[in-house]
Amino acid sequence: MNLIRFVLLAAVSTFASATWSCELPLPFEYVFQNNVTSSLAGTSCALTVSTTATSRTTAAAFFHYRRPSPLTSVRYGFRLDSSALSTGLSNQQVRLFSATSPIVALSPPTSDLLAVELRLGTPSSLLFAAADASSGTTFASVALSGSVNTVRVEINTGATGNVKYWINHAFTDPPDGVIETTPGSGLDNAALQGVIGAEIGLSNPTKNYRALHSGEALVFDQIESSDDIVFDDDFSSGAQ
Amino acid sequence: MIVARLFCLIALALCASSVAAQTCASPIQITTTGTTTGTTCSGTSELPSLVNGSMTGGQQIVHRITLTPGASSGIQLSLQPDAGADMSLFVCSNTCSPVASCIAAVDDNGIGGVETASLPNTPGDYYIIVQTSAGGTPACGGYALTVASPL
Repeated sequence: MNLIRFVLLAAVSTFASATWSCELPLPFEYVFQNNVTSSLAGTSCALTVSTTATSRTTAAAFFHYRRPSPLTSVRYGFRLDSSALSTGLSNQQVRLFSATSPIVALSPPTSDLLAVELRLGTPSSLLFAAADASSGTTFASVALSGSVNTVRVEINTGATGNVKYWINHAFTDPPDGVIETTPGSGLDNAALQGVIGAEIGLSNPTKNYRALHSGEALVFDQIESSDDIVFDDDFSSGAQ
Repeated sequence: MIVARLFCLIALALCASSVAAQTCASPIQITTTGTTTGTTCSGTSELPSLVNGSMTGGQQIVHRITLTPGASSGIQLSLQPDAGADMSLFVCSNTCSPVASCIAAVDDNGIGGVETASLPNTPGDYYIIVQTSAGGTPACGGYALTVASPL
């Protein structure tokens, strides 16, 4: 079934990307670019993006999409090549992914069911921040052993929801981690209803990241999703 | 005496409107060219993130401009923060929400720097969100938002 789904995705992707020089991965059909250097390349639409000397807090380039109604369970994956980044400290951080709720809820208020950030260090790590009614956000940090990593996540919404993640492993493998309030109890993200949109790319670079990693590219490709929605162009007036 | 009372009433009304009308549910409606002043210190973090969750920030004030057919094209917006404040400017179409289709997200300059954006020519509602840039000091401040062309 999954094979059929991904074959269908590939076929529809080819159709939907007729006006682009690459085949944009469904459902991610739109690239937001702002105050960065970025490009799309190859048939897989690899997104290469780096901040510039004049980048500030809104610097970003990412694929994103929005669906008409939220999904209570959905998977996303992407490969990140950060080999061009020089070494850094944990105050140098950039967002790679977010899955968004249609509403703002919880305390402190949030609309992100899940955000994934790259935190530099020796080694660098991925920081997973999952919305959780009990604490606002429950975190998981995973040290990276290399500079090219495939990140996969599954977001389950509900009173006993959770977030599962895989680093360099397939969805068919056991997850490398499950984010819950306490092990086995799940986390309560029901108030956020589910995932209505997601983005993959660079955004929210911290001040120290911008200051020290200008021109150093991150490359995003091999984007995948279990959401095979095909929708009307909802982002026709995007900033470029 | 009557003039003084009228002045006080007008001042109170203006003050009340700037405090209450600043959210997605009740944005400050901008109807004419010119400058609207405010302060993000009276704002909320109603939209903890913008542009599909990718851009975070601090306290926000929400304005709305409704473009009707025949409005000027390429209307320019400029945001002048008070000295010492660092702000960013967002223009989002159709809806005011974390997943709004934002068509501009501008934070080109630092403390006290002017941020500019332009509206598209398509009629509709545009939410103009003034936000204190994340990590700025002070955390909020006053601003002047100017619409350069007739609406």
